[in-house]
Amino acid sequence: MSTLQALRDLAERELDIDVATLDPTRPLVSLGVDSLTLADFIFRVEDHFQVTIEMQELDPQVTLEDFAARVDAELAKKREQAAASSGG
Amino acid sequence: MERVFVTGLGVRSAAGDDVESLWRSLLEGRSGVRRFEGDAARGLHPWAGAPAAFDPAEMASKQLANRIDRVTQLSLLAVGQALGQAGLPSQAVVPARSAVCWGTGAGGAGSTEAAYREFYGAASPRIPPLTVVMGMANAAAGQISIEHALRGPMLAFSNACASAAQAIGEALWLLRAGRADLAIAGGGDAFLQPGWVRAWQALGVLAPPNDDAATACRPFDAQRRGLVLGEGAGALVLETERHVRARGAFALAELAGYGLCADAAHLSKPERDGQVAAMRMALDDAGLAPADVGYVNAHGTGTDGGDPVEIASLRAVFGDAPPWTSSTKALHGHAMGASGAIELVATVLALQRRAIPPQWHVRAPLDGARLALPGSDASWPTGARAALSNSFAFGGCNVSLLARAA
Repeated sequence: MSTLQALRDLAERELDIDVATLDPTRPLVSLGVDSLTLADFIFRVEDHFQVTIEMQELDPQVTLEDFAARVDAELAKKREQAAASSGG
Repeated sequence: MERVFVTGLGVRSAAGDDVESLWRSLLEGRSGVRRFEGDAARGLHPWAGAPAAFDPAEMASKQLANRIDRVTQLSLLAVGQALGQAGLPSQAVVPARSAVCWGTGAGGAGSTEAAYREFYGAASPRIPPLTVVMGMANAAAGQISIEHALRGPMLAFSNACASAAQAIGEALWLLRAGRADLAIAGGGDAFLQPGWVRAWQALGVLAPPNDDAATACRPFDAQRRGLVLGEGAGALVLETERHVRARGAFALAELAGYGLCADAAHLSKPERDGQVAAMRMALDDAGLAPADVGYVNAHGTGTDGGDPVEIASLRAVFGDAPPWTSSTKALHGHAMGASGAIELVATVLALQRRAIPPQWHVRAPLDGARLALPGSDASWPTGARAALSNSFAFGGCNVSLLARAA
């Protein structure tokens, strides 16, 4: 499953957003996600993907697509670190 | 000074998810207390507790459920019931004249304890980012104001077992003083968490679950063993007489008297004089005589030290013929900061329905109390037109609330 699809599922489950109508290029704030809900959602994303995302580094107009790119970057970083530590 | 009326009631408790189910439990003796096995490795002994039934799916949205603590969830549900009974819309019609006064003993205890458990117990702790706003003592008050557009005064009270009772009493004065036309008042608590329960066990005041946990709480019984921790929320809609008349609302009762005082003596030991003063203040405030009171919903926690003091206080106020008395904690446990509201709901129901909630789980009654034991002839006294609810808190804070027939 792509990162974006996993995020869509998470958004549907935790934010009550109908994924059928969810435009991943629209800012989450425009979908009724306020700062507290966003903070909670980031925590759940971190849990799901086992990555760390600093809220302060996110654009207030963050979209689900932005999120997916950010998660992918963190996952890539983790893979590189794992490869380096295993001598690969 | 304007009179203030109760027009809506709501409750979530171990003995009932709403007003009617609570009332049936009180009359039929259905206990919400059950046994929990504890955690021997951490020194948490088996305990008796009274959890409120609750499903997060009852919240308006998953987003909302995710970002508020259980105490706020239970509080919102009780408030929703009260507004519904009052026939008021969810959103305040005149927000600036609509207040919220809400009590809690432990605030968002579950959120705080979960964060501490993670912080001290995990190798790489991850603390949920909403821990602060979920755990703070005014979280429920704030969320109630948000959900119902209450933009008048917002007051949060934390006075242990008297929190909700005090919130209701101060709402009475806020309305009398003309600072609002309508107030949502009450309180919630939800702290049945291992760390919290262990702390209560350490204090040595909890009744052991024994063989029949449902009857573990036995207020005013000679063989009582202690209190049983509960949880829940109770809510009242209070309105000024003018507001009630203007919208043609139905008043369930008048909130006529409020007594409040501190013992200034001891943090946990109850004092007769303070309790007497609070009850007399409530009667004086309402302009009523002791003989007008038909029922007292006692604080009655079932502890060794507390119950006899309250009996002595009742005798001092009411003389040799005190009103019918019961502590409904026998069934819904001690919901701490919520108890004053849950028990005032029971008190208003007793007054309105002219019926005395029995005192359950008593085998050998303590001398001096006039307990409404099941099967006794405890009927509403002819001529009585008021009922009293006591909340005597750790910290030495005494609150009595008096409801008069509308």
